[in-house]
Amino acid sequence: MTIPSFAAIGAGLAIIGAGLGIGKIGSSACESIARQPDVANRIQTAMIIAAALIEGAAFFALIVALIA
Amino acid sequence: MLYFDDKDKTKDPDDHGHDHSHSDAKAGAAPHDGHGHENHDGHDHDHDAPHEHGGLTAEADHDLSHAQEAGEFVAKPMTEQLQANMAKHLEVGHLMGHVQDAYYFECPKALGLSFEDDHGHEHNGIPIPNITGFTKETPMIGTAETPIFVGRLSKFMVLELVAAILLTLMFVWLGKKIQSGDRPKGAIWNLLESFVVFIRDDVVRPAVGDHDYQRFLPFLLTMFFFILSLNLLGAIPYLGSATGSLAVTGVLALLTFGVVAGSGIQKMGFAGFLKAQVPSMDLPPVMKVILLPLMFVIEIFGLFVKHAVLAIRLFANMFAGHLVLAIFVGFIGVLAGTLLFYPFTPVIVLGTIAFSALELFVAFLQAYVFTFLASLFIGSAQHAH
Repeated sequence: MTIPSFAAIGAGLAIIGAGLGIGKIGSSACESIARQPDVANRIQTAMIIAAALIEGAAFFALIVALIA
Repeated sequence: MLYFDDKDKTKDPDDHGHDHSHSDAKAGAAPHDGHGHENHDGHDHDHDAPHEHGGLTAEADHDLSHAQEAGEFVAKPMTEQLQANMAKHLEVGHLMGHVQDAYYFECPKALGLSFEDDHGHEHNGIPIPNITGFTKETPMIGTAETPIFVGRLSKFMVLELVAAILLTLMFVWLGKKIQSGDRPKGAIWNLLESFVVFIRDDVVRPAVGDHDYQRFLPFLLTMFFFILSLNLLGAIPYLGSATGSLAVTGVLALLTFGVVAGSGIQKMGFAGFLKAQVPSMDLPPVMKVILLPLMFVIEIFGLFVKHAVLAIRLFANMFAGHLVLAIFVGFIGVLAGTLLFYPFTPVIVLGTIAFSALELFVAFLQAYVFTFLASLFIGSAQHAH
């Protein structure tokens, strides 16, 4: 196994983490919107912010994997 | 499984494409093609790469008819042909060449618009004239070994200019229409106005705050429409997505950072802006002494990281999307010359269409997300935490 293949595994692991995180956010947001449709807009805002933060962390992992 | 006898292929694993020196040899038996492929042989296929998309189907058919007319079928393992095709069409440099910036616009091979670049490599497409006179060897900033900014007019620059001119024309027109005070009429007027109102009422206003959202509306609207139009230009085949370049998204994020820091400093003063980065906490004094400097460093670091990620997010989404599309289309090239080509090409074409539709959605989504986060950052710079 060479370094690039390890980097690819690392990228995959990072994506698993990000996928779990964003999936959790999405499911929670759907539940909350179903319970409180009135504040759907604010929930959506919070959802996107949280998802963006997770995405950012995942991108860092991906860039490290790309550089390796 | 059958594939066409091509003695050169077994000798030279690098030159496994559609080798026309072979068909040249029996030009008497088979009518010669008029595509100008002859000059394929003998140059390195990294640069030979970016022109396969258009010609694939035609070429595979073409090779087939050649071989049939010549009456030469030789049984060889299909895996060999597939591997050779894969090394050519799914090669990293080749795929990147389709997604990254270039000094020419790609064209379908069938148009026969081939030209030779400064380095003597053959490309299918229309070269962009070198107006500024800089080349990779003589860059505007930096040296030939470490070029920082080449300064030559490139494909992405042309696309950015096109987007800017289109936006200017459309919004000057829209502005005149709105000034007239009439009700919106017609598809374009309604379309543009509904976008503008959406960005104003659902994105900028809640994020920046009712008090001073209007000051930042022009900047954020410009960002949204510029990114959106670059993304959409990327959805047109043979053009490219300028937002798929970190340099472009980096500048957009840098501008956002400038607005965030500038407006924050204008409002609270330099020291006030720095102080506002640290959230106020109810802590015992001892803990405060330890935690506050730590928080300060983390928050200042986070300020830069937030904007860097803003650039990386847009870049990664567009770049990765276009790379996946290139790989999808590359699969057709991998199957070319084998019997798998016929059943699987329709599947790949449908898959490419479906993925392009997803990319269209991503084009809107990323423009929205960029604008939304930019307005959140601006909003958080207006008020202390």
